Amino acid sequence: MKVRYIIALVFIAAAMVAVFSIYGKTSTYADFQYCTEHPGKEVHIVGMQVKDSATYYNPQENPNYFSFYIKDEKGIQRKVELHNTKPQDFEKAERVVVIGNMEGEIFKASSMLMKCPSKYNKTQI
Amino acid sequence: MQNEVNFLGEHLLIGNIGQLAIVLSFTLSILASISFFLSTKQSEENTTWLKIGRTAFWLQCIAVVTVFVSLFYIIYHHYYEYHYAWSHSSDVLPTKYMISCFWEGQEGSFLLWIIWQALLGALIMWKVPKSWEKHVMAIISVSQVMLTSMILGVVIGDVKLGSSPFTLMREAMLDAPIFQQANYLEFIKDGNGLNPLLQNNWMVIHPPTLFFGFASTLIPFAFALAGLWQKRYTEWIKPALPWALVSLCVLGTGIVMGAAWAYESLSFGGYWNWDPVENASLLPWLLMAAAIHAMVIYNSTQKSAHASIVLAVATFLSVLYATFLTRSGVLGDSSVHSFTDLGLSGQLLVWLVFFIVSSGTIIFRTWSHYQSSKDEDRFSAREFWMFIGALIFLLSSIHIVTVTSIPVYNKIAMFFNKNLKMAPPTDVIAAYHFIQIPIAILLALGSGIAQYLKYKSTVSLKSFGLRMGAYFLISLVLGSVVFYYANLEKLIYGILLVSSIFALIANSAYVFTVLKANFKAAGAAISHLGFAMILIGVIFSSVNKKVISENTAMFSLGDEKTDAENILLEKNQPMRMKNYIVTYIGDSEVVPNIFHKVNYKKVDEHDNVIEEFTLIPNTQINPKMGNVANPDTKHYLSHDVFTHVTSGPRKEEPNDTAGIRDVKSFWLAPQDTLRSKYAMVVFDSSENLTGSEKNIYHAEILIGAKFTVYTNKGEIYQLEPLFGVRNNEGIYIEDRCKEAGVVLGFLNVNPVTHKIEVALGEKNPERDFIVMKAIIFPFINILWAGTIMLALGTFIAFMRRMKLAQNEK
Repeated sequence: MKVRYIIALVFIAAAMVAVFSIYGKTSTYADFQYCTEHPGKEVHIVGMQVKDSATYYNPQENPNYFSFYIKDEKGIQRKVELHNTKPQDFEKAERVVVIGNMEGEIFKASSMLMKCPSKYNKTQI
Repeated sequence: MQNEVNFLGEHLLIGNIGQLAIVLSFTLSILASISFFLSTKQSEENTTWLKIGRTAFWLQCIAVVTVFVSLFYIIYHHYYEYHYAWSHSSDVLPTKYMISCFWEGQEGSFLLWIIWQALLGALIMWKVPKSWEKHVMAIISVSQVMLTSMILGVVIGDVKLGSSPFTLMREAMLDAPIFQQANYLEFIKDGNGLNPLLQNNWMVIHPPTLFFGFASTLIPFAFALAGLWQKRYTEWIKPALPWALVSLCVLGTGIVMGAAWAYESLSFGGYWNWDPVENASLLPWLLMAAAIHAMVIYNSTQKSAHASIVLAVATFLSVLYATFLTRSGVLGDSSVHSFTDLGLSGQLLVWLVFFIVSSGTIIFRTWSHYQSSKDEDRFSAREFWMFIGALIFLLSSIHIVTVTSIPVYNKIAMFFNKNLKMAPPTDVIAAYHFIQIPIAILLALGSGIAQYLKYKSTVSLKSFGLRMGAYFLISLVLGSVVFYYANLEKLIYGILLVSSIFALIANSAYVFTVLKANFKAAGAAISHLGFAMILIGVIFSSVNKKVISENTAMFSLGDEKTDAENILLEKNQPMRMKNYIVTYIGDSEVVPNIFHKVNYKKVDEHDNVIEEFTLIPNTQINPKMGNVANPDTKHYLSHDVFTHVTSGPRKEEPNDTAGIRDVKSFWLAPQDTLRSKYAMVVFDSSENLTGSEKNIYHAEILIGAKFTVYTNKGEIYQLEPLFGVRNNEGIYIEDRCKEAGVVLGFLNVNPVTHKIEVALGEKNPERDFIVMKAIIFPFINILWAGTIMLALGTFIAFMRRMKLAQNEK
């Protein structure tokens, strides 16, 4: 019987490790103000594309540089730089989630997710 | 009060039939549940309720098929008055993808699940003895009530029960002014269409396979609960085992089909991304694998009864939880491709809680009655290590659930008025690998070792140790050599490689030396072997995947986290990528796709071409959903060359005068040469085109001037600007070569000297280009072959367990 208890204890310990391994690895949803106050910290920012603002992508100059402006939940607007191509359906995206950190006035994104207006649940023709 | 409008051109009958069938299947499922439940109270001879239950369930099956056929009829005939058809299909959609429309939307995918569950129920009624049938069917019927309620589409008071696929456009969009008009259908010309990413052959078969896997997890669950209910606490394991194996086999196949789809048609360059939706399908597989190990242990040793029950139940609950995650909209910003909220999250949550609480209560109340063998646990017995294996599978799923559920913690915190703002790890992959790679190492080692142990007894430690030592030594040597030459970077990958090779050798050897190639008994060994191959394939194709399209720009991009993985290819300008010379040749267009031809020449160190091939990634121009790029891949036995266009060619307006500068005019005789900044322009000859078909201008005189343009990069182009006279006015048709940055206008002609006057303008040269990413995936075929072995192994195990279960009767 003793063996079972040992196994149970080891298993619980391993499960704790597995569960708490995410502690400290998780990121935070933040805004630009938080970002500026914590430079170097990688965060997620949910923002809206600023329509009519300058997006810059000139692949002939550099195919891996794309910059655009987003507004965070509090309405603060910042420039975002992404060292990747401009996603093909970028214009269609309303909300974007950028992951990265602030360097000066510019948000350096390491990756980005786009939430397109729902493809499943359109309410307009 | 609103006026009643008689809408024109609607096909309401088919939708009414479908909706009626939904309501019928829902009520019949309720009737079946009640009848089967009451039948369990009746004696063996009295079968009234059993008969009613069976009839209700069969009728329910017919109703479900009717729903499916009605919806297909609507999609097939493009009845866009139905919201589902409008949202997910369009006129140009090929028939095979019409089937895919079913699973693009939530309602259709629920429907698919319902159909499989109905089929499984029918199989149970047909194959399983009455003593099990009553209880198992009662549970299946309750689950069918749950699923059919999800597509019911009935509003009771303020509560919306389910979302029906037969909702009309005008019902779905009540406020749209267009539906004030009786003839609104005349304005709805075409449907929204199927998301181009889903227009792929894998997407025709992946969802039905996966949903069969999901649906089939219900059977072991139902058997387990039926066992507890009848106080046959462990008897359920034997009849449930074959079902569990089928479930594992199909689930695994379905998951890999999804991975193959992602690899073939998604742009992230890989087959597994630890996306919540992917994790949601992996969870039940892991738990089912754990449950099967526990159930097999029980079959041979009468141990681990508790684990069998808990794991079989947890597997089904994990499917429900995964469904809740992916369909309630709770994942929100953390997944690219979860379904959007249809307002059903409350209903899903209620069902989830119902099943957790009810099955949890039953297990809790009967816990002390399960009879597990009290024999001593021996370290040297097979069941001990198999049990550890089951626990490791469980551990793996606990970790995945913990990370995937991060958005759920935010929602729960919000419930307590706290704003947690917890986001998934910035490096998700690393967060998963941190735990999952050690787990994979343990599973690989265990799968090799446990095979050679025997149930309930000790093996000769000497021969066992010698054998294991030998296999391990071979793996260590082989693994180290490969680790060194393949340059796998991190030690942990080396350890995983050695363990996987060990599992591969040990399990292959087991099939031939111990089982003497008796494949009918080799289900487990072949599955383990497949699992080992998957791990090896993953190590090579993920760790060693090489992005060959690295940025070759002259300037630095700054920091090291820069993702410079895309390269710009100008048309006809060869570029070197590692040992390939890659040229973008041009496009061809078949609406709505633009196919980009990319030529690859593999060269040796002296730049001799060893082989040549052309890849054709494409971009689908989709004004409704945004442009979608589809990669193309060249497959070899040893590796794949993956190519994905990340930014398509820019289409220029032909007569754009912006950017033209330095316009000068010259009088030229044939063979005169002009120099521009980027090219040399030679006037060849002029010709009278007045009577030719080129005179689309109805000019009285039309003359063409032929030029040859030699660019600085050595290309040659022909240009022919035109000059003409119509109604005493001059016509000037310019011609341009954007690659050379040259614009030529034909201004005048001297009829005596035959000299012509031309205007030469200069522009910055422009070329068609694509921005693309190219990745080499080494040995990815080992991964695909491994999944086939794994499926084969589980299938063989299923055949054997089914025979064993039948012999029992």
